[in-house]
Amino acid sequence: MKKKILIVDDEPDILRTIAIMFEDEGYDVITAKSGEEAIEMAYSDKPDLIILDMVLPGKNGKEVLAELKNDTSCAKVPVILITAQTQKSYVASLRDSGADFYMAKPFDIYELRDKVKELLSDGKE
Amino acid sequence: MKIFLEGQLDYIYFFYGFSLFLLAVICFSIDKEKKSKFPWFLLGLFALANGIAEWLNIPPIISEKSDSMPIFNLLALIISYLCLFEFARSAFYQVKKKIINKWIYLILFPFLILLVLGYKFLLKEGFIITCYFLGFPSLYFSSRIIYEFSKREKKGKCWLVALSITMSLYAVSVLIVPRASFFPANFLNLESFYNAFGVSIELIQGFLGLCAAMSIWFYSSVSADIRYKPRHKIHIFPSKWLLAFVLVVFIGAGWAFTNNLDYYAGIQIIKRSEPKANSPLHILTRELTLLGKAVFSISRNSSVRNAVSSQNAQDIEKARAILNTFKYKFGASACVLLDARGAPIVSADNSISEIKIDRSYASRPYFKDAFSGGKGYYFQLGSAYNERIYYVGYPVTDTSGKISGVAVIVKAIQTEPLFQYRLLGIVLTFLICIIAIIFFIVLMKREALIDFIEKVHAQLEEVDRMKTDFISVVSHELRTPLTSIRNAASILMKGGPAKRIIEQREEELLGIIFDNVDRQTRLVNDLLDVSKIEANVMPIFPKPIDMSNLIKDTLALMRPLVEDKNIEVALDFQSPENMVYADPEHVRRILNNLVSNAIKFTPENGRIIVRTEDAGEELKTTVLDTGIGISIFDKENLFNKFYSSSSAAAREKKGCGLGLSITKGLVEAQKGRVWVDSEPGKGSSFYFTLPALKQKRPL
Repeated sequence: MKKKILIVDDEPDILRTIAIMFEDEGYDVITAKSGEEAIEMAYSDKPDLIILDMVLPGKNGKEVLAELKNDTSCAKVPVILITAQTQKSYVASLRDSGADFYMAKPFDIYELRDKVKELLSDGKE
Repeated sequence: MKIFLEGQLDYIYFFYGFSLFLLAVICFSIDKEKKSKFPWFLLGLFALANGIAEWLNIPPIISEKSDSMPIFNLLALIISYLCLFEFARSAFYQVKKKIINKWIYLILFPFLILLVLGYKFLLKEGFIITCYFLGFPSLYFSSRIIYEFSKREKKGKCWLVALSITMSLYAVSVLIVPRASFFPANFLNLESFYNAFGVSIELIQGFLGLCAAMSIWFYSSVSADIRYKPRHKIHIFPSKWLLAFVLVVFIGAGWAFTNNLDYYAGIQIIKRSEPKANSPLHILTRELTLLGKAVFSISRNSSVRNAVSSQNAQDIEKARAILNTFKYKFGASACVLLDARGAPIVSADNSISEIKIDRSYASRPYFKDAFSGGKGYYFQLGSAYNERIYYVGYPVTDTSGKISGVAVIVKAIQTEPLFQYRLLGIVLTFLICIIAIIFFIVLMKREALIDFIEKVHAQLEEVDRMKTDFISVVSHELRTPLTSIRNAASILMKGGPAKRIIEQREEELLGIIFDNVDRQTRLVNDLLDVSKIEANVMPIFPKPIDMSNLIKDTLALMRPLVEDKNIEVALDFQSPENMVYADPEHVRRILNNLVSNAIKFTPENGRIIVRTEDAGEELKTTVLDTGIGISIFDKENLFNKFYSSSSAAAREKKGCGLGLSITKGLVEAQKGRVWVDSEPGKGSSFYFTLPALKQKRPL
């Protein structure tokens, strides 16, 4: 069965490039452009992994993450955060947020791919 | 009743003048930034001149040389009332916006003539006429105007009303003038007031001056425009209560000084055992002892005792002869025999006019004490007009040994009145008050300085916060296109396992790269422009340009976007001439920003109107849309750097938030203005003006 990945970002171009990458890799890709949309899709489509941008209209990445981690059905879904902020204090706060991994923009999309593969294979075991 | 500051006329005048000076200081220091241009300055001048006039009264009182009205006193008084009249006149203009003709001053000429005449002949009358015909009307007029003014003020209204009431009371108080032979000064005068109320009018006027000063002070502090609220409360003295405290303490100190210094001085003289024959204390002691002996002698004189007992004409004449003898021997100003009811039986001739045959002196202490017997002498320092008149009474027994009358000698004793000590008291008080005022002003300045520092501090904090925001927004804005470019490029370069999909998407990925390179370029250019505008080094090459052509060009470029959303665009050139003097590149940029914003925020099938209007020296251009509109909060921050609305609808339309900031910078750099008018949900109108270029019409 194809693994399903939910990508959340308000920048259509970033969304598009990541989507193309993972479609090519043979994943089922769904996308969301806002925090609210992301939460809704996380409940309804049950993705296996979520790639979440921090800066979003409406609920931001942190709030979305907190909400997902509070829900039993979604709590175990691995989350990769994408952020444009690289300040140390900000990064430290992300470490405690319950995300599995974070990447700073501009990131290497192949690194992201490898990380996604690693996290999903962990899930298999 | 005559207990309040009895014998302290010099101090009363000092206090009176001081309160007026305080009023002047407060009027001069009242916040000049206040929007209403109420002429407090003129009121201050009035108080200053009036204070000088009152202080001019002090030297003659202290030196006990003369109580006549010096010419400078009258001059200062007239100047002060003229200032007050001018205050009322300009206040009337401020309140009613009607001008009182300045020729009204013509009627004041008689006062100047009076002044010239008064130097020799009419000094007192000139003073009284000034009070009646210049002082009273200008005070009353001012109080009315201040009352009218108070109706318009929202803050501090009650203090203005208090000031108005104080002024009207003061107006009434100036009607109480020195005694003169004509009506109404012959019955409503300083002396009759003092006799009726036991308080001199100058003291009351001093308190009124103080009240006026306090009212203005409180008014100015209440109505001060609070633009900036300190976030960190700094604990310093609550200034207005400190002022009140300082006043109470030092006015009290002044009273104590002037009241007691001569007493202490006398004690010091005795302590140092310097029995100078001519020292004031010795003169006084000697004189009073002599008077005591004299009055004792009178009371023991058989003719006098007969006169008291029988009161027949023969005895009275004999007694008068005795009284005359004593009067001349002791240089007394009066020598009188009172009966058991306190009415004079007989007095030595040429007595001072105050001793009147038909009056009863039963209430006077020198009578009461002597008549109650056994107390011996009673010395009283008459003080109403600051003459040192001593009353010495002694009981007179009739033939049966019963006390049935009192012998009284009245004498003005001319001692050296220790005036240097009283002067010292006044000078000390004055110095202390000056120090208090300086201290107070320094305190106020300090407070203002702290306020200023706090303001600057808050501004710097704001700048720092904006800088941090700027950096984080810039970094986010720069990283976003870079991410897209990098992702697309690396997919194109390395590919994935299923080449087929990527090959299909090749064109799309290249498109993403180009779009994002463009976006990055625009962003960098915008940032450079912002920094140029902020550093004020944006090059501007103005020339005459036709606004209508520029607008048409801009709209032509936007056509694809407009057609995409099926937006109706209308042009509305209300003025036949649309020439402005500006840099065409910048104007194009401004139009581009505003029109593209309008398109961005207008839903499909909406409407955009671009309108030009002649606004005098300027040409006003309006870009009106039927978009989502702007909330009040956004309106305030719209033109700030990197501001993008918090509303979700606006955030969907991405922008880096520099466009309007640049627009504002460019318009203002070309001496124009830009502003916005909007109703959320209905649309917004952006306006900007540029200097118009009017073609010279053919003659």
